[in-house]
Formats: sequence, C-alpha cells, structure tokens
Amino acid sequence: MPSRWKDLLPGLLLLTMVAVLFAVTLQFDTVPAAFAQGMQSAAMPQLILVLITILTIVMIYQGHGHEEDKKAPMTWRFWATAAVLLSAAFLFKWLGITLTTALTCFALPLLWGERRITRVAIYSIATPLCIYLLFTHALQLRLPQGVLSPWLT
Amino acid sequence: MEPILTGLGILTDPVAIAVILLGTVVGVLVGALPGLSSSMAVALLLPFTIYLDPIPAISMLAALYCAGTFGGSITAILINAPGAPPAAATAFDGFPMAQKGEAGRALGMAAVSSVIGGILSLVVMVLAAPALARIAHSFGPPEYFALAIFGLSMLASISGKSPVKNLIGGALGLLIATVGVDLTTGVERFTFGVPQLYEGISFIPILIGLFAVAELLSQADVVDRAMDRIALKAIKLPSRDDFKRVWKTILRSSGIGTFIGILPAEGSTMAAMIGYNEARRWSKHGDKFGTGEIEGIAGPEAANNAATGGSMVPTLALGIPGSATAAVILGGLQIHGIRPGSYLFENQPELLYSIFAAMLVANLVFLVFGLVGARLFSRISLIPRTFLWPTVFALCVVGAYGVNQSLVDVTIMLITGFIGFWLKRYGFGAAPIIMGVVLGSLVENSLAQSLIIFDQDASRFLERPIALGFFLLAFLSIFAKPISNGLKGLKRRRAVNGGHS
Amino acid sequence: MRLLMKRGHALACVTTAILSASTALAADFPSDPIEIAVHTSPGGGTDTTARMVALVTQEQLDSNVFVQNRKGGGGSVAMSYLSEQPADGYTVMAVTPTHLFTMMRGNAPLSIDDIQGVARATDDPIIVMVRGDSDYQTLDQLIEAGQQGTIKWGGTQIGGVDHIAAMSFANAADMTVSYVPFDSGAEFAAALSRGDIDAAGLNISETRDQIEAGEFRPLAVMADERMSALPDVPTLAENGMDVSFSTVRGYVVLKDTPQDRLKVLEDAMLSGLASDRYQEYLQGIGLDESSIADAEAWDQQLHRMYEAGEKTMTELGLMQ
Repeated sequence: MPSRWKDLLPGLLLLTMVAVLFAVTLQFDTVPAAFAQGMQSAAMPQLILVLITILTIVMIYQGHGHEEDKKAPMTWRFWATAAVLLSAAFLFKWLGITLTTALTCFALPLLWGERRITRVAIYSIATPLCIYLLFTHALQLRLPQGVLSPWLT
Repeated sequence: MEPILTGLGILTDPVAIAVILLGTVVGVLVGALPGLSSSMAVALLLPFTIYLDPIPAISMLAALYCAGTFGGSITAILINAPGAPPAAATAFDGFPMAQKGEAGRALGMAAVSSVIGGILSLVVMVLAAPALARIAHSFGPPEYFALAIFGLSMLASISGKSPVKNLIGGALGLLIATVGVDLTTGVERFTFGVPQLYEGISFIPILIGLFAVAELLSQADVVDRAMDRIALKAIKLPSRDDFKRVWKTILRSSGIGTFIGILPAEGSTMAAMIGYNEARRWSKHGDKFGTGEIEGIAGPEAANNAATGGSMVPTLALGIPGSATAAVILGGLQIHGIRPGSYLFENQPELLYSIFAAMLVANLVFLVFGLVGARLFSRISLIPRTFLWPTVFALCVVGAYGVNQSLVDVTIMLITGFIGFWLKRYGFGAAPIIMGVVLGSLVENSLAQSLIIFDQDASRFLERPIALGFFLLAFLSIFAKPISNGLKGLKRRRAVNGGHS
Repeated sequence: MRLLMKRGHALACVTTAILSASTALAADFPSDPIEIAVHTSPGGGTDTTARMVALVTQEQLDSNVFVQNRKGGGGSVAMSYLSEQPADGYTVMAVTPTHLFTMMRGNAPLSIDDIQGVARATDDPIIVMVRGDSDYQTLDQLIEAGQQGTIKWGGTQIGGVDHIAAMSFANAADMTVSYVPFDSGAEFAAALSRGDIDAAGLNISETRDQIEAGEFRPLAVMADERMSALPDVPTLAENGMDVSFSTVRGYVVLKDTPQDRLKVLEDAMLSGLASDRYQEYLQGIGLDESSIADAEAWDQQLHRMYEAGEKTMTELGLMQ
C-alpha cells in the first residue's frame, strides 16, 4: 500500500460499508404511495450514504501526499483483551451476566499483568456479587443469570 | 406571594425533606452508573410514590431528576463512561483532565456549574413559566427541523479533529438513527430480522460503547507504561482563577440549556452538546478543547442541568413533556390525580412552587454532595488500571442490559466499542457521532412531518419566522468564520497595497 | 434441542392438566412470583399501568407480582418470551392493540387463539377531535370537507392503532385523509392546537382539560356506546359507521393455562383493580371504572378488535 496516502485504509473500509448498506436499502419494503407522502423509507438512508461517500472521497483526497499518523502499536495484550470481550459476548446468554463478568474480572487483570492471584480471585468474586446485589436487590432490576438462574433470581 | 410561601412550606415538612434527600442521593447514584438513567429510576420508583402525598411524591421525583443529571458527570470524568446521555459532552474534556491527574478540579467544576445552571433555570422558570410555555407551544415540526439543522451545522467544528472526519462521524450517527421502523412509512430499515432492532437502536448502549468500551480497549495497550501517581493533585478542587475563567461560559450555557430544555421532547443531551460547542466557539483556548480544558466541563454541565429546570416548564404548564424523564414525571402527576396545564397554574400554584422548592433543595444538596464527593470520588482515578477497567466493563454490561433489559443491547455496546476504538485510531472523534445520533430521527421525522403539513411545498418553511431564525443561525454558524476571515484577509491585502502606493 | 423443549413443554401441559383436576394445586397457586411482561421501556403509559396493576394485584395474593420489560418488535419479543414459558399462569403479558397488529402481520410467534384474556385495566376510546375554533362544528361537516378536499390527520406511527383507526374512519366515511405521524399523543395534540393539522384521533385522558376549556371540540367517539364523560358526543356507530377503536391495556396468559389458575389470577386482578388506589389512578389519567373488564368481556373484545383490524389492514393493502 502506498505510504503517502493518509487515511486510505479507513476510507476504503467506509466505502465498502456504504456499498453494502446501499445494497441493503434497495431491499427495503416500499409502501403504497398514498402513505409514503413524498418520502419513501429508503430515501433518507440513501441520502446519508451518498453524503458519506462524497465526504470519504474528500478525506482520501485530503490525505494524499501526507504520511500516515503515528499510532500506538497494537500489542498482543490488545488482541487478548479483544478476545476476552468477544467471548464474553457469546457467554452472556449461557452463563448469565454475573458469572460471565466474574470470569472477565478474573481474566482481564491477569492479562494486564497483575500477579497477585489471590487478590484477583477475591476481586473477581466480589465485584460481580456487589453489582448483583445492587441491581437485583436494591434497584429491582433482574439480570439474566443463565445457568445460575435457579440460584440467583 | 401566598402560594409561594405555601409552596416553600414544603421545606418545613420533615417527610418531604427526607424524601427529597433520598431522591437526591438515589439520583446521584443512579445517574453515575452507566446505563441506569434518571428516567428509568423515576419510572421504577413511580408506583411506590402512590404511598406518599402528592407534593412530597412529585418533589422526590423532581429532586431525583436534577441529581441524576449531575450524577452522570462523575463517571464521565473519572472513567470516560458517561453515566447518563447528557453527560456525554462532559467526558470530552473531563476525562483528559482526570488522566492528567486533575479529577478533583474537573469534578468540582462540574458540581458548581451544574448547580448554577440548575438554579438559574429554576429562577427563570418561576418568573416566566407561562410565557415560556407559549414559546414551547409554538414549536412545531418545521421549527424542530430548523433547530435540528442548526444542531447539524455545528458538526464540522464540534471537535478539534479534521472537519471532514467530523462530518463523516456525524453522518454515521445519522445513519445509526435510521435503524428500526420508519415513523412515516412503517417500514423496517436495517433491522436484519432482529426484533430488538425494530424500535431502533437505543442511545445508551451506543454511548457506553463509544466511550467506555473503546477506552477499555485503548487502555489494554498502555498498562505497561508507568503510571504517574499524583495523588495530592488529583483531589484538588477548582481554584478562584478557574471560576473567573468560566463564569461567562456558565451563564451562556445556562441560557442555552434553559431554552433547549423548554422545547418539548428536546432534552438535556442536545443542550449539553450545544453548550459544549458554544463554549468552544467563544473560548480563547478553543483549539485545545478535547485535551482537558476546564471550560469544556462548565459548558455542558451548566447547560444540561439548566435543561432539567427548563424541561419542567412545558411539562407542568402544557402537559407536554420536555424530556424523557419529564415524561415519566408527568405520569407521576397523573397517578396522583394532578392534571398539568394552565389549570394547574391557576388553581394549584402552591404545588408548582413546591416542585421548584424541591428542585432548589436538590441542587443545593448535590452541591455539598458534589464538592465533598469530588475529593472522595477523585480517588477512583488512583485505583490501579488492572482492577479499575474490568470493573468498568462489568458496570457497562449491566448498564447496557438495563436500558431495555435486552442482551442484544450488550452486543450492540461491544460492537460500537470496537468500531469506536478503530475510528479513534484513525482520528475520528465521538462527539460528532453522538450529535448525529441525537439529531438523526429529529431531522428525518420533522422534515417528513413538515412536508405533509406544507402539502409537499418546501418553500412554506419561509412562512415560519422561528424556523427562519434557526436557519439563519445555522448559516452563521457555518459561514461566520470563513466570512470574517475573508474580510480580514481583504483588509490586510488592502492595507498592504495601500502601503505600497 | 428445540424439539426436546417442545416435548418437555407438552409433557408439562399434560401433567398440569391432570394435576389441576385436583383442587390442592389451585390452593397452592401462586407459590412463586408472578411476572407481567411489558413490551415497552419503563416509563410509558403501558408500563406505568402495568406497575400499578402489579402493585394492587400483589396485595390480593401471597406472592410477589413484578413487571419485566421485554421491549422489541412491536410486542413480538414479549410474545416470543410468553410462548417459551410453560402455561402455568406465572407469566402474564400486557396486551395493547400493538400486539394485535403485530400478530396480523404474521410477525409474532403467537396467534390470537394462543392467548386467553385475564382482565382489562384501561379502555380509552379514540375520539375524533378538531380545534375549538375550527369550522367543523359537526362530524358531517368534517366528512364533507374530507370528501371535497383533504383532511390532515395526526396520529402515532404508520401501522399503529391510531393509523388503522384513522384509515378505517376515512374508508367508512369515504373521505381523503393525509396522515401525519408523530412520536407521541402529546405531540400531535400540540400540533392540532397550533393548527398544523386539521383533526386527530385523541384519547380523553390526553385532552380532558382542552375539551373543558373549549380548545378542542370532540366530534365523535370511535366506540359502540357514548362515553359517560362526554354524554353529548355521538359515536361513529350512531352515524352508521362500524368503526370502533380504543387504546386498551389488558393482561393475558397462554390459552392452555389451567382454568382454576386463570380464575385465581382473574379474581386477584379484579379485586386489585377495584381497590381505591387503582381507582384513584384511573381518575388521574382521566378514565373511570368502565375501563375494567373481566376475563370474558376482555377476551371477546380482543377477538373483535383483531377481526376489525384484519379487515381494515387488508383493505388498505398493509397486509400481504
């Protein structure tokens, strides 16, 4: 990739997204003209998408001849953190919110270099428990508990 | 005079004082937790107020509303996770200040400017509620469309980043707002068969994702670096010089907030964004906004609390809610058999003054709470990152879930978190995206409604003077700077030429 | 997995059916908390009413009654939740016309025959309303104007109860309506009083003061009988139009719920609704005790509204 094209990568990704979403708008239902009253449902999203296209092209053009900005390096820690968050997204449904956050509260400090494992263990139990007590018992907001639901209601 | 005294009489009732205090404390707590907003807390408490007399009941809800708006700024400043949508703009400069070790200064400023904004709006409300209600009443779809255009006109300049990137961010925000069933055609858009998207994407998961989750991801890479322990500095409160610097901003934002608050259905979030942008526009340090400028806290905080007072005007005077929380309070009035409207002003003015008194007390209570708390809360920024951020994540999950009690919202929060992180790396800010989401449905719906009302004849916008005024403001907002720069350039050139001849 | 669950479900139904024959079980019901599933976020009229109903019903029972918000899909999230629960009376769903329209469009996992009404908590007929200073003194004048020109009519979103009601009326009266959709009743009430729209379908709970002050003029009620609060306002039925729409809020359970449990729930709800506390709430929102209906009347109304709505939606081309 030419190095003197700043913002080329986000620009191309934005344009791809616009193309995909524009195709989606073509699939929108239409309503009898009597109800649309001048504006079909796809009009506004399509207008916005066209706008994004124009702005993105301007952005890419402005970036021509400039070096890419220096960015903080992405270390393995970032990818590991991202992986923890993503796996949490899939676990919420089965393990419930309290158990899953207990797991993330255990995994993240260790990933981020915390060595005192007993502290982490106590922390990872105490935090979700406090949240559970606060939300479910003080605020009357029931959280989905997945496999723990027979015990935590 | 007599109704005022009767209204203030509420302050001698121990039960009323107790529930107002309770409402304030619950409000600050709920406001501070990401996801749990004051509107939700009011809704959850509503049925239980039936056990109270009407006046203490409504006073408690009003106090909770005031305090909740302030509470949001605490987490916005400390952990970049706005506890409530109106506090989003506070995070732009508040969090950088906390990172510089000035959490106490930021929190103290937030408390003071919130209280001034809140009290000023209450004064305006007591003096001129019926007249203000008439302004609120004259706002129809064409006026809202013009207001939304004015809001959009700020997009390019709302953050110090590249204008074109700000505009792209704003357009992405508008796009997010189109998800769900279209109001004017009833057609589903971008729902991809997920029923939870049918009513649109809620604002709060987006907010938490863009701010807190994106921040968590960037924190993952900085844990290695040494962390400055600037404990003493962290709990220092704002100085006299700080207040000298921001008093104009506070006054301006209080005016903006009161006005935006009065408009039905426009809430504190928009008031705070406009307050922030105007603070930036008029500041000498405008280009440093986003890196931890104290005016960047005073601007939105004074505005969003002024908006809470303002939003009670149409709610009480017209029975038209001025914000989402005011809508729930309206329900509370009805539960107690109180019918808002001109009837209320004529026949039960003492109730009105009780509500004002309660909101006043709430403001004073959280001033104390905020200033004392600022020293306490600012210590949160001293918690080691390895424990702080996992806790933030756990709170975010519960917060995103809590809005609609749906796990889909938690997924939306995570996705926006990743997108927000990536956008930030490439120099896109959160501010324009938030602004786009706030204005999105307003722009589209008010335009569609206006066109039907005008029989598809857009030129009839010219018949509406208020709308014209906002179009003009929008025009000035975009072109005032280029024009004045152009004129200056012209003068300079003339002066140079004159010197030669 | 799905099959297993279904089989388990069926098995549970059989067992409960057998057990419910013995009276011992009815005496035990309810022994656990009862959930009311609501399809909106906390704060709206439907949610607040449900929370009031939960509060007053709980006072009649030994168990807790709590509200759980299950928002999404025009009620379809709440409906799929209900359909996944056993038919044991522990899950109650709040039903509004929105649910019926979602069913008609085939977007719901439940059909009208899968649910059984328990009780109705509010009944707020839609009223044809114009401004107090408008030229339309009577319904006939409005209809005439709509036959010669176009009436701008305000309501909530397209496909919702306000829209279907407005279109049914326009069809029956053979008039042309240009429908302006708004987010909430308060918004189009304000639009009406500003003069941005000519007429609107509004509830009395939203407009009682304006009617009393002469700011709004009610022309007709979309109901079979006149409202006690508006004895002089005719119904559309009197004018020969079979158009009856109302903002109703009631509660249902799954059809297979044992009869004795249904009876326990119905009795508890009805005595709760008759309590002073609930009556005060009703008055506060501008309604009276005619809002309350028992299981039989409410179930019948649900079916009637469903059939009427289906007819209009087909005529309007909103149903494939």
